[in-house]
Amino acid sequence: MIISIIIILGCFLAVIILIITNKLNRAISSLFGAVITYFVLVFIEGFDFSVIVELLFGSPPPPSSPFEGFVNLHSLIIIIGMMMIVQIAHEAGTFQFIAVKLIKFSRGKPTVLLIIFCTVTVFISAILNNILTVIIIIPLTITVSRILNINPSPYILTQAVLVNIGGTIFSISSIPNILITTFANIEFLEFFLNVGILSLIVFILTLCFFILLYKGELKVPEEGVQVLKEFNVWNVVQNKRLFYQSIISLIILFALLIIIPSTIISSDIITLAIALILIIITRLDPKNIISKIDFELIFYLLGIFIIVGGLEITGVTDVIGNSILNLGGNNFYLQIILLLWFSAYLSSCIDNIPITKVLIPVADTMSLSVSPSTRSQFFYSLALGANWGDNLTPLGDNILVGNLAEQNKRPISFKSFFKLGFITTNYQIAIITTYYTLIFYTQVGFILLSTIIFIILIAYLINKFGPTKIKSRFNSFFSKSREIIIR
Amino acid sequence: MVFKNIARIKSALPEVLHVVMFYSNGTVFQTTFEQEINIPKLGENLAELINHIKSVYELCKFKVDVYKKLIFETEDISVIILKLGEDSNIALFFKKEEEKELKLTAIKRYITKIEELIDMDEKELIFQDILVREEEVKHLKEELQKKKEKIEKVGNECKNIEEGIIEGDVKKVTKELGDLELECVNLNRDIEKKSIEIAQLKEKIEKSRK
Repeated sequence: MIISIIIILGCFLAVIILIITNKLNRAISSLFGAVITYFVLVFIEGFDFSVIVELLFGSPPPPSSPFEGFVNLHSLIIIIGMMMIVQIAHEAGTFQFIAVKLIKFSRGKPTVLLIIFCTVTVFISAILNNILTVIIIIPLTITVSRILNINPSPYILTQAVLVNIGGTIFSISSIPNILITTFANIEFLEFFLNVGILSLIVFILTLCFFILLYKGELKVPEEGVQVLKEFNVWNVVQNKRLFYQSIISLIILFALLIIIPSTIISSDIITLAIALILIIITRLDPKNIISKIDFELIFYLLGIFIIVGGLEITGVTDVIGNSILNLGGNNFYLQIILLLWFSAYLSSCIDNIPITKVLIPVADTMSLSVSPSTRSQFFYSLALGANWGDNLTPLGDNILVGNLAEQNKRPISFKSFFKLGFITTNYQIAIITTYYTLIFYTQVGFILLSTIIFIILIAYLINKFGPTKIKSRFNSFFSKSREIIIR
Repeated sequence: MVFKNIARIKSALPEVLHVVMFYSNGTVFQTTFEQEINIPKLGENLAELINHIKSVYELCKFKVDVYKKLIFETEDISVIILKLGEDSNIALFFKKEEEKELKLTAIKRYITKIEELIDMDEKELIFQDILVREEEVKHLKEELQKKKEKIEKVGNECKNIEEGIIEGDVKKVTKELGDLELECVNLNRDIEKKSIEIAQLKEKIEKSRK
């Protein structure tokens, strides 16, 4: 067993390093790792080929609960269905239309513009994956900045940071969420009520932080506002029929995911059915839609499923789970907080898909020690950490933001991105930690929250009514801190 | 504003059938084409056209600086794509008329105006940054001046206390004087830092000019 553990763990780490260093395509690296895992499981551990099928698609459901099981297959179907729907909506210009329409509402008020840019980003990334969101939103932001005669950097930086918050609003918003919710059997509405709403609250608090940070930097010349009014929003829409069809299909998809429990029809079947109906009614070329499915991602996932499955079989994930459990003692609250910070910091330097896949069985091991009603908390905590941690460093998906900004001749500073991402992500995770403290240790949480509110209130009162000397020192401290973060 | 300039182009050159203003990422800002035309695709293809020609230049090992115009002529319709600003372009579709050359000079000033309106270049952005920093330096200098005046006032007060002209706590006033001097040192350092930043930005503009 030890040899198998060393080989599979080495394989997993090698895949991670190859992806980080960009030495080999991620799909090829993970499939190569999967083949090595296959050899280890079959020739050293003595399993037959059926173990690979089980790792690829998940174990069959137990007779007691026929709606569980085949979790990996369910995840793959949701991902493929969502890819088709999103591709059609993207072709129709749905997201670009909504974005431009909302931006025009700002009427050139700088703070309103920042709020709209950020809200649009979170809204789009709640439906699309992070990569597609930045591909749509960053060039659009730069185009709007050209029209308005403004510096797009504050907007690009804040959008890049907020993309990950959008990723935790719905269970279908990101690949980690899909993997977590299908494994833990968490319903669409249940996820939204427990994680989505929390994400929206954190989004509002992050937005307040950004407004405070960038207020003095944002200016919009009047002439630019007049020119923006002449930007025809319909120029981003290919044809109106397709546009309306894609909007209606998205609404129906969300309605069905909310109304129909997964014990009647699972979310993946609903998503795939809507995608297929949409292809038929829009009369788009199916070949074209299928060719745009991200097969690289699918192959990458299949490879990761096998490697992580190998880690599970050899007991590595159990060891990690038990270690976090031991670190947290018998304290449920401490275990959740540890999982939150641990997953966030791990996903800051490693792609969050393999990290989520490794930490799902870890969260499962940890959740065995608590009552079934509180079991899901571990998975919620994992979803938040794995999605948000991405911004602690400007690596991974964030490199794309930098590249897009540069391609559009508005390069952003790597240092500014790193500072803002690191501070904001820690701030966001600290908010969640305060929330959990409030939930599980109401008294401690209340003291913590009261202290924070008290500090904010004192700062506000000093700034408003304090003696000139203290006020000026306070302002100078505040503007220096601001400058350290944004410049 | 942009509409007016399009109208002026069309009246100066009646043979122009349609105008498309687009950015290099394919986003169409404004066009005279009807909505039945697939406008996003039109913008995307026009942008790709420019990129393809740039690739041809690179393949032939010609230096691609900034393109100025691209002309495609057919029997009836011709297209001319002109570079507007840093990242924006304008495509003019016009009827081909015998013995008549398109006089682009007639519309040059409208094109320049459109360029100013829809596309701010990077230099302008740096200029804005310089202005912001200069404003900050001005503010800091004002604050420094105020502090210096206060130092003088507190200094006199200290002297008067020491000479017994007025009553007061010498220790307290000396401490205040020390604090003020420290603040002045910090302000001077900030001014110096910002002045260096301004010089660096100006240098950046100079480099881009060369």
